[in-house]
Amino acid sequence: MARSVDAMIQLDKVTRSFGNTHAVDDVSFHVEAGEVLGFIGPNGAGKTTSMRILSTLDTPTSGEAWVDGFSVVDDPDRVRARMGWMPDGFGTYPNINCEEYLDFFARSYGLRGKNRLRAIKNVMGFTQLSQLAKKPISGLSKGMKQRLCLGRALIHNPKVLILDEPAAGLDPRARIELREMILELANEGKSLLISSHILSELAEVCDRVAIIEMGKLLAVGTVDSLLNQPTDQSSQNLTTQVAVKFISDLSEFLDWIKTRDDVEVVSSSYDTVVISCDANHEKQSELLAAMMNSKLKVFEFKEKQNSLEDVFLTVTRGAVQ
Amino acid sequence: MNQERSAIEKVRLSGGEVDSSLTPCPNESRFDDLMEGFSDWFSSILIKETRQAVKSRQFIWTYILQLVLVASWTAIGFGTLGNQLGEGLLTGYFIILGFPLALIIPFSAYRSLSREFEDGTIKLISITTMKPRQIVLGKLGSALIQLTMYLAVIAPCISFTYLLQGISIWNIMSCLSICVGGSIFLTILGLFLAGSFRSRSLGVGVSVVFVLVLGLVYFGWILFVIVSGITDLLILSSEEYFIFSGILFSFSSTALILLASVIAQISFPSDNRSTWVRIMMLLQQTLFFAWVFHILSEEAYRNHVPTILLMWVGHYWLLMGFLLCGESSKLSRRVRRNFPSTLPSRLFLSLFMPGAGRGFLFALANIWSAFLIILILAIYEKPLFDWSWLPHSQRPSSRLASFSWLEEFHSMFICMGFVTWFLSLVFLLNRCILSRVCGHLEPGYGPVLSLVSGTAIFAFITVFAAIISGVFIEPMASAVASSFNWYEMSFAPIVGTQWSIFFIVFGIQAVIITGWAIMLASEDFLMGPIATPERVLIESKPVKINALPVGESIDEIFGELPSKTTGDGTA
Repeated sequence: MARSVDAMIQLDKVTRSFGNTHAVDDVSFHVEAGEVLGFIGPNGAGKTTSMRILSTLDTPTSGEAWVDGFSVVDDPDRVRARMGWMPDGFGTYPNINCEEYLDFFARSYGLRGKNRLRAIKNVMGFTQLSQLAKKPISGLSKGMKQRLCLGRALIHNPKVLILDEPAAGLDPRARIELREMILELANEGKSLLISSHILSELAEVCDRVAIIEMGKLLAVGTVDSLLNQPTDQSSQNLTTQVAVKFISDLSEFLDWIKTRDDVEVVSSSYDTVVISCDANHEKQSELLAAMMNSKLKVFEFKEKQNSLEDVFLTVTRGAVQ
Repeated sequence: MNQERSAIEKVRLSGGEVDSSLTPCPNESRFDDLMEGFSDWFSSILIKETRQAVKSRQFIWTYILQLVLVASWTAIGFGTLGNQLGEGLLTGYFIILGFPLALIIPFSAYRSLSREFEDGTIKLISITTMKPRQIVLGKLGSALIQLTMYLAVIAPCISFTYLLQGISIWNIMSCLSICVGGSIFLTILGLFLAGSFRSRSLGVGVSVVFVLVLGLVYFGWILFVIVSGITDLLILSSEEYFIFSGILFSFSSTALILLASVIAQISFPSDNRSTWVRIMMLLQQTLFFAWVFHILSEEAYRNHVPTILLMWVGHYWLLMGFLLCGESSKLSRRVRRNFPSTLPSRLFLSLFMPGAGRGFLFALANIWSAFLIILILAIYEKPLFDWSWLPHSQRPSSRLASFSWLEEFHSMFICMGFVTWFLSLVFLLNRCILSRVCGHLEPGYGPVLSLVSGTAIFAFITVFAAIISGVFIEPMASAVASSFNWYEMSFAPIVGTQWSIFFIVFGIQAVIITGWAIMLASEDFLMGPIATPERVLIESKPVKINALPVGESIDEIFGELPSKTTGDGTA
């Protein structure tokens, strides 16, 4: 894969080996300007190693990686000026408060005088930390620290943001606020690469998702395209799962199902039965009509939608051996 | 919906300006504004480190302790010291000052850098646009500020002793120079150790050893001040003066090498980590010869002195050469872009570029330069140093007349031959075996592995040759074994058939091995530059004076952030 002119982040056949272990193995993907790419995979899949390479903390054993057209190996200084990285762990400094922390990083990125003060002010406003300016970092909650860390990554207004597990350990409210910030940043045209285990969060903010396991990239695509792909063995035989809600007696409903060869029960509760049936919508409409004709009081007949979790489990489960 | 508005909403609703209540640290006076602007001249890490240091309990308690001790010693001194008041007080003050300077400041600097590795904050700093040099010098600068603050406590008391009997400005300044110079050296040593031993488990052991070393240094300082006596300090005889100047040269140049090494250690893998270290090595060798030159202006060469000097330089370049031979030969494109382009510049400057081959040739070039310098000094000793300013009775009498010129030349040449042979052996070992067997290791381990294997080869050959030559009674066998003993061959006169044996047993294979090594190394040496990518050239072109690394103004940047959106939330 040649270097794309428009891509803000690009990995081309990147491999990172530690001895005989390939932490990242021949991984290629790209992120366009203003795009949010979710990077998902189980623990030890190679997400953080890939992000470390993009953040100019490590070098690939082979392959190439670029940020805004600059090689992370050959031009790390230029990459650093364009990139903000938020790691999964948060290293703190003793005897230093939030404002001093941001001030230090603003200076480190070359911001001087009023520009520096305004950058700190704006980042504090954006991350809702202004009232905590004088609070020692050691006294901050996990959520506050995450915000401060995001603020640090934003202080020099990078074009590219790399966020490693930004929502880990956050309460629901903090997560919502973080999601809101990510969406705002994406709207401003920044390119974001986000890894997370909270897949429902990713589905809401990401334009595309890349799935990695044991160092190998298994799938890359838009969230919709991945959600619409088959998620289990039965689906690959053109069957799908349908949730049927009814007000009839459960045993009566199950007895009726037994009379049919084209339907299987997947799970059942007192008013809902999930069945596996033909994926063809015409066949499904015939099935619904048959239910109605049999006097079953069905009030909801809905094809089950895949979640990102389903896609993740399907794609990663033993896919790489 | 949340009752409390989020920060984004607050900023948005404020109509494009951040609420004044949300501003961090509004400056209270023009003086603050002035200082804020002034602070832009300093490194960010210096400011952060100083902020942290002066707020730390350790600094506050040490500072208070120093104040209490100084006050107490002054009171006790006036009550008890009598005629010895000046010297006694000054001795006490320097012992008190030695504690923070020898123990607290170097250990704080060590902990400051090692903690960055333990907590992972070094990663956050590394990905800023700050250079590794700025990080290390910032930490050193912070140590110097602390040093100044500790000095400030004791300076009035020390100045006061000048008014007392028996204390001269020379006493005070010489003692202060040793104190401050020693503290700076120990601080650099601490930074070097922190950069070299990064793992937490190893760090604990290194911390303990370093504290013990610092404790010993402080104990040595106390003994030095008490035993030598402040008033007699640095009033040196001619011989002591040369020793002192030699020590000064050694410590200052070693400090520079350590500093260059720690900067190299925290540099990005694709950075050029070698050039500054090599420049510092060259500087150290230059300072060494300046010192030799200085001695020769007072004293003439005697037998074996040139060989001893070469032996000293030879050991130095063996150690450094082993490290250089272990460098990775795979260079990043970033480094190769900066290679000298013309042949003349390549011939000289390539030696300073990274890589095992160039490192090997750099060590060889230096050791043979040393040989030439010592040889030229020996040949032109009399015209260079005629000691005309000395009275005839005081001029050195033993000159070339008593100098066994031919024997000395043979010794020097054999000494050089051994150093070249050992370096060639280790270079070939690295190039042909270690780089293939241990190729999967991180590049940083190469020099260490090379140093260990090189030292092992050197020690084994030298010790084994010495033992075997003593075991054999038969002269021929003993002579064969002795041919591999560097020290014996350099200093013991070679007579009769021993020359032939030495030439056949050692000389021929040494020439072959050295020739092979130089041939392999010259492949690296002749490497030229590669083209710079167009994207980099384009960005390098505009000369726009702007503090921002991305070449955008802060208004453009934050004009895009939510803080500038309108009140109804639309951009």
